[in-house]
Amino acid sequence: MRNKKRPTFEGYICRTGTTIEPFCEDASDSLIANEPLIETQKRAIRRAGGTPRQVRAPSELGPGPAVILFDRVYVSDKLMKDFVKAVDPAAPAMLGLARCISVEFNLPIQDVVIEDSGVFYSCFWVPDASRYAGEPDFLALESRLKADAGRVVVKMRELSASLRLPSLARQSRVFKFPITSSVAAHVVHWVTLLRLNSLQWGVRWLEYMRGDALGMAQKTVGALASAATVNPYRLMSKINVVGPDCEIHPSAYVEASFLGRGVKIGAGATVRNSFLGDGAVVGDAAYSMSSVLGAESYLTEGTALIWTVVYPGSSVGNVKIQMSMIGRDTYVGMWCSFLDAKFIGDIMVGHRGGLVSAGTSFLGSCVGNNCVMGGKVLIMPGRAIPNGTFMVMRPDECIVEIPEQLPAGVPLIRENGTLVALRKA
Amino acid sequence: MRTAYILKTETRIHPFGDPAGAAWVGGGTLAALQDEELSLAGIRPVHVNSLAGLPPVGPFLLLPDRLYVSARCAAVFAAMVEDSGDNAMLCMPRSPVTEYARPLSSVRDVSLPAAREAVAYDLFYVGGRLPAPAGGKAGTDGVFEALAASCARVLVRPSYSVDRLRHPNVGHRPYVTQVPVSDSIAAHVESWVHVLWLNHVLASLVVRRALAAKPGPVEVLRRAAVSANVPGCVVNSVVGGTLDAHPTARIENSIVGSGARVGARALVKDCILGDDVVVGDGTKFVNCVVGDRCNSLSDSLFVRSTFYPDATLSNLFVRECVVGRFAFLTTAVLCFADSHEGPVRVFHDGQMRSTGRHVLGACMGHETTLGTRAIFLPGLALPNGCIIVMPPGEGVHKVPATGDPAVPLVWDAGTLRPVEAVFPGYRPADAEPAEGPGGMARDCGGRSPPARGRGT
Repeated sequence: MRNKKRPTFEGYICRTGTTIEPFCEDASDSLIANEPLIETQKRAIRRAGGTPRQVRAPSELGPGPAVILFDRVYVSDKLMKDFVKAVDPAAPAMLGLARCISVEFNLPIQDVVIEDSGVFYSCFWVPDASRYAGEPDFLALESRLKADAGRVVVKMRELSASLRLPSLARQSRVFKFPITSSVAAHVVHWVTLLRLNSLQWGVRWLEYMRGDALGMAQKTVGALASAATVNPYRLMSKINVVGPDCEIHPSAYVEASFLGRGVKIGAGATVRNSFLGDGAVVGDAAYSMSSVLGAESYLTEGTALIWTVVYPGSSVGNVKIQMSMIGRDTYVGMWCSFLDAKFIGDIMVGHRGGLVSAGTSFLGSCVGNNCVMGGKVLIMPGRAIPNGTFMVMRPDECIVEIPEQLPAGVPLIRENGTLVALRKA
Repeated sequence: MRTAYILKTETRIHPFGDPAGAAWVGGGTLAALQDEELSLAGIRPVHVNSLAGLPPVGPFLLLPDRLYVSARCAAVFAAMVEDSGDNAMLCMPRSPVTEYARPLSSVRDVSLPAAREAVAYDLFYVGGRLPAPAGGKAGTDGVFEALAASCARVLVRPSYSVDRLRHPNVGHRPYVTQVPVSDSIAAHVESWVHVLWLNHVLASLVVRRALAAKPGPVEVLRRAAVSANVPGCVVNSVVGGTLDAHPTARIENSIVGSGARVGARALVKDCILGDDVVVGDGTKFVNCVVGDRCNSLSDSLFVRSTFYPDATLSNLFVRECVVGRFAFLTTAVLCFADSHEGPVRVFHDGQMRSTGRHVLGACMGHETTLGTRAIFLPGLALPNGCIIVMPPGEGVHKVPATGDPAVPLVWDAGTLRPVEAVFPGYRPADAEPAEGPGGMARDCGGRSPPARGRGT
């Protein structure tokens, strides 16, 4: 298979108009490690030897061999290349992966085809795309392709890192986090988007190594020389992809992360395994772990961001926010807390008018675009907060005005937005 | 040597009730700082309590106790007016230097041939006779009114650079404040917000000046000994006397007074710390002015705030706040600093007035004690001596003697009760189903489409 000549083909990306709640954005515009999904799709097709084309109706499908994938389908570069190599050029095929840690990690909620041989994604190889040009719409096209195509399970390799989860009632739980560059997913929900972003650390690093093996080797040798140790954390702190014009404070710790242009990282800040977009700011003593910070976003001083995705232009000032998504140009204040654990059973999330299991008991929430989360509230796990939500503190729960002539030395309490003596209350 | 008379005024800093000279700026009182700045400018400071203490005829400099003027600014002004027979007033062209600490202050807008938009400060050169009080104001302020109405304007052009300070964008575009970095600063200190803002600017000025000063050989040896004791801890900073710092602490671009203790993983950056300050383990001070003997407990975060001496501090996040003497701040006090309703308003001159700023915390008076869940909106000022405790119903005061591990308990009216007893028919909450059928080309329920633009 290795010597098989790669066929040239068209890569049709079918724009179905699938939207992701609560952002109300096309799936194509969903950001994966700060890159729109449509761009990752085009790149994957290009690197596999194809020519990407967006189509808005099946009638635009032309003659000749093609990959047809839908706008909600993410396929990593490596997987697309392996799929194209693995297919029989003369027969329709559907991309599949055997069930493994990385597939299971992002399986809940996805509308994929699950069979005994594996999990199959809406990415198809067809020897002649024009045969499908007569389908009335993409829904019919996808159904027909699923029926016609043979199943091709692409071989893949993955590593895993064991992470200890919080123990509940003496139950110790270990979570295996997958590291692989062969990833596929249907982006149909913010939870799948969040997990797909989490998987990007492995995808991007492995692709980076593969794309620039010499550079990576130089980086590693340089890291060994400058760290003068084989301590893995010290080594990883020397291995980052740093864009131009970045300002990293000497006391900040940056490890195995991708930094865009003009990123600023403050004193005592920690950035581990993260993606920081152009112009992102990490405040003093802030902490970003396995997270994605969008362009021009701002992580304020002391904020901890863990397994979270922040879209561009947002400011996050929470004490600690885990496994959540924050939309574009959104503000999350200090005292707005997102609960991220459920003691009994899986967290349920809203999807297509019903509730579905997120497949985990550890999950935060998702805040839409242009929101202000300014009040002191606790938000239960798995909630999706719509675009434009403007949430502030209840006036009766905080001190809005301070009366004149307050007595000194007398205990006061807040009541209905003001201060009153404790004994009067 | 030239003489500057610092005239005591009726200005009181709300909510402390202190005279302006007692305001805590630049690591000491304003009065002490005025003395230091004027001395550095080669001017002899003399504090007078009334007009009777002033000579009737110049030449001399005159300023109120509420005016801060940096040494360079005072020196340039004095040199420009020296030996003149006329009275003159300090002016500076409008710039971030004049605008940063300006809101709510009594500085005057003036228009000059050399600068159409300029700001006049109450630093006067009296070359001739001292005028009689005017402007309907009795006492010392009347003299400043009379001088301002009659004297010449002398323009001092400060050289400066600007730090662009990023704030969270609360429902609008990224909010950036231009913080001036300059040796020529003047400001009227008339409110707690001026104390705060002036300290933002002074922290860098005082540190730069301390670092630029050439120490004697003994001081060089002492600093070397301090640095050797905690290698790598002290960066670009000046430490007075002794320092007890954990090897993992970091002190950067700061001045630390004698006898300070800085705990493990603590961070002190762009700060002025007084004598005998305690910085707890994991506590961070960023761009703060901290008074003598302040005690910060572990794992707290203080940003761009001012603390008068002897305060006890423990909080998850205090930003843009002023805390008075002997105040006690517990961990769960909440001070909102980001306004979502336009510029923050503060009490000043007997009424609520806009500061023009969207980012501002609160002010706690002297000897205030703030207990758990005291929640403050931006701009509030708490009078001296207030004690705020948690409303009794919000805490758990009574704990059941025994508990069934299988029965979840909830807080209710000061005690813990089974969730079923408080909420009959309760079941664990899950997300509400999303509206609409969903799927491809789903209706977004009339919500506005996402903003596209920056970073997309």
